[in-house]
Amino acid sequence: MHRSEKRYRKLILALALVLLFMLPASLVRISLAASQISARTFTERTGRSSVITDRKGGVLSGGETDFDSVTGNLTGNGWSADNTISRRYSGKLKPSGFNALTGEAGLSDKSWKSLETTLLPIQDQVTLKDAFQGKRGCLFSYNYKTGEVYTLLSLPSASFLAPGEENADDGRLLNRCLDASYISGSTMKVVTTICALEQDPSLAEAVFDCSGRFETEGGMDVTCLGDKEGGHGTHDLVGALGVSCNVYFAQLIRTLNVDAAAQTLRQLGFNVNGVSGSSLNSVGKLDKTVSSTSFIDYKAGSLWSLIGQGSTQVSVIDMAMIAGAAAGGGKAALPAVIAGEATGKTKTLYSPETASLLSDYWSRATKQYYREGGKGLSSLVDMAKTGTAEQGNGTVNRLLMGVSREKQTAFMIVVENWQEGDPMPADIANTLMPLLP
Amino acid sequence: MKKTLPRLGAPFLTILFSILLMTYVSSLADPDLGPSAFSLYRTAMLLASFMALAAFLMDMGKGIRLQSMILSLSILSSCGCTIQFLLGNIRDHLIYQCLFMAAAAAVFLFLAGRCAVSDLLFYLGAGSVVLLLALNYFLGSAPPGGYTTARLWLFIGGVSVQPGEMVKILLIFLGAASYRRWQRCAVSFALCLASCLILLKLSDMGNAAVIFLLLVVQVFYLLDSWKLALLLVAGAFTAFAWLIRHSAYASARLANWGHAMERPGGVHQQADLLEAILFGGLLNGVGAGHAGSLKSIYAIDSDMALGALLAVFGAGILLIVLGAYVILIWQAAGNHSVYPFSHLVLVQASMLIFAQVFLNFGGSIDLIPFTGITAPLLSLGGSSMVCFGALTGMCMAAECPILKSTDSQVRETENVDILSGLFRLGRDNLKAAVPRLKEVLCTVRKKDTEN
Repeated sequence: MHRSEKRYRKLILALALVLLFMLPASLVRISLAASQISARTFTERTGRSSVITDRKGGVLSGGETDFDSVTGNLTGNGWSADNTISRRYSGKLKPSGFNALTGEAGLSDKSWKSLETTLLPIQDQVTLKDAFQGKRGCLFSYNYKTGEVYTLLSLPSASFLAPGEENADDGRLLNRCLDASYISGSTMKVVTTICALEQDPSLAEAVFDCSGRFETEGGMDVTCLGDKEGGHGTHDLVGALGVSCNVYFAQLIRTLNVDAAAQTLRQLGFNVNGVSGSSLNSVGKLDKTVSSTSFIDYKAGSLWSLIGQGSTQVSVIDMAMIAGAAAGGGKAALPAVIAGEATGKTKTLYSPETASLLSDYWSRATKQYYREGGKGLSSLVDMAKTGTAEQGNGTVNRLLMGVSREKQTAFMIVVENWQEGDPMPADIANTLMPLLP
Repeated sequence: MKKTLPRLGAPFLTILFSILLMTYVSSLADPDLGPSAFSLYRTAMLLASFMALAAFLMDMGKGIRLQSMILSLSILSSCGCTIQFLLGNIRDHLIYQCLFMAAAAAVFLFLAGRCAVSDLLFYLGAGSVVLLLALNYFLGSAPPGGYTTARLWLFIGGVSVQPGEMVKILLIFLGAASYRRWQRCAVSFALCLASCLILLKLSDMGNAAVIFLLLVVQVFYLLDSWKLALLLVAGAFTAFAWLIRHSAYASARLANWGHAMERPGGVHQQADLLEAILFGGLLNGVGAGHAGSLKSIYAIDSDMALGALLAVFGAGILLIVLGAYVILIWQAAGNHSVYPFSHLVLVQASMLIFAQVFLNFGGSIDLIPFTGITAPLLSLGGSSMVCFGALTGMCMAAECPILKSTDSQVRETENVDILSGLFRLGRDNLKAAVPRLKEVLCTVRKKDTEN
């Protein structure tokens, strides 16, 4: 008899036992996988889904009517875009009562859930979409006190499952409020004003003369384009904000400390020269882009950056928060799109003194130049700043950031590739105001 | 001889019969079956596995363990036929099952009664291993489709063959023939190691792992040294760690382990399979009528066949399938053959069956890293079926009663020639039959004359 026989018999018995042990191990692995199934898989396999609703319970996604042409790039339902509610809140959209024991048979009608967002009722969002008159662009608005997001509209919008749209290259699958950043245009002047007031509150009283051109050392002079010869003349901050005077702000900026300005910008959420400060990277579980700018001194191109035409790229959410903080004593609530996530938690963007000075001057400028000055902005909007961003290819984007104290709402609107006859952002703001709760 | 040989012929007939029967039953599993007929079929499967278990329990402690082994094979065969039928591959699968039986019979006849191997046979085997490896290394290519880069297949006149499968069988044979023959030991170890490295080079991680296990068993048994075997295992882990660091293929496989549900790198097959099993549930399954929806999963009929069975019949059927495999392996532990050759064949064959099942099923549900090895008797594939047929033949040959006798007349180096034995038996029976016939005829005549 071979003396290894005993050992070898033990070996074989061990093998058989390992195989037997695979039974419970496999069942555990399979059960574990049950918790890892995505909400989308349930939809694919059963043809049903949980619904995402607006603040009034109107179904945005997953119901019988398709509103993907309005909110599809936010709600999402496909593989391709990761930054959507259906992907990021997959756990809340999974049907309850599913387990490895009963499988699909364990799913009843009551298993499917409803995820409520803070967005305006879908009919109102359709009205806002129509106000864009087919133009591309985006509209972000939110309550700067509570954080409730009212609109995260990005146009065009599409369904991920619609045939032929999966690979559309015009950005219809991306939500521009979350995933895009825009050249800021003159809306940046509000940010510049904040930088100045944070350094020296007395700069609110500063008066500069505009002759239409401000010469810089390295060429690329700052000019006030499109205005009558000889410039805007002498004016204060109210007038400068009202007419968006580049030359005024160029001179204002030259009085500022570079490092302190960079520090303020970082506090406002900007990434300055590749270094970010207290940037907001997300809205709930949804990622958002971070505003960025770069300057090393106040010469030429760097100067333009702070006026809004250079390397400055802003997130519309950041800009709405900066505007909201003017009415909120320097603090703005963190935006939240899912009901229950809006806790009113705030972020301090600048000092209350700055906020009070800014809102004072900005309100006067808005009243004087935007409401009474013939631009026809709704009386519900207390502070607003327009912007025109040149895209470099001859096209311009029209922007508007603003605040309504009565509605406790801050907003930012972009109309891309604006041409004569297209709706102005102010028109869209006027449409928005009565719809706000 | 006269007593033992008929007992060896009977199992073959039984296997043939039961596989044919089960295949027939499987073909009744029509995709349009209603739920009641479907559950009836499942009940039949459950009953068959209880019978196997009963036979197994009754066999325990007895010398011959063929009955439960045969039932286990029948259950597995039936499961294989069913799932391949539902996946639309039954014609090919039946052809492969015939290959399985042919291979089992050939290996059985070759090994039954054999307790030693001549130098000629040994070096013929060794030469075949070298030839197969060379063919695979220089002419092997990946299947069209680009899903895997493993160069395991030889395409000869429209038929694809995996030489790696045959190599495993030959290595078992060589290892078993090396007992106390140090020169042969060296050859056998060297060939194992070489096969392992070449298969790794060809990105066939599964078969490389299986052959490595064979090497460990051989060292453990032939050198009778657990220390050396332990050293070998430790060395293998070091080599494995090195490989993971330096091979993109291996590290990708390992990185994906445990993350199948996240569909890493666009690999969907494990996640799709797990989802199918989950939506079927533990007891219900998605049902025969929905088996077609599984076809979109890559390699569902080969690597994922056992998973597909779980999805269709409910995860509970795992109890039956794994039970059948366990019984098959457990047989070997009860073997009392006195010859190291048959011992070693048996222990390696058991090891191989274990490794195939463990790697296949564990990999397909992401319990262990995925290697893409086939499940014996369930997966579609000619080469793997022939390989498993040979393993079955080996297990049965080791049960040959003559090897269990301690008859002093049968010496360690003397082989019992089973073929001439069968011939002799026939001739003896014939010889015995003639006088008997004469006797009967005489009686009849006597009665006639009396009348």
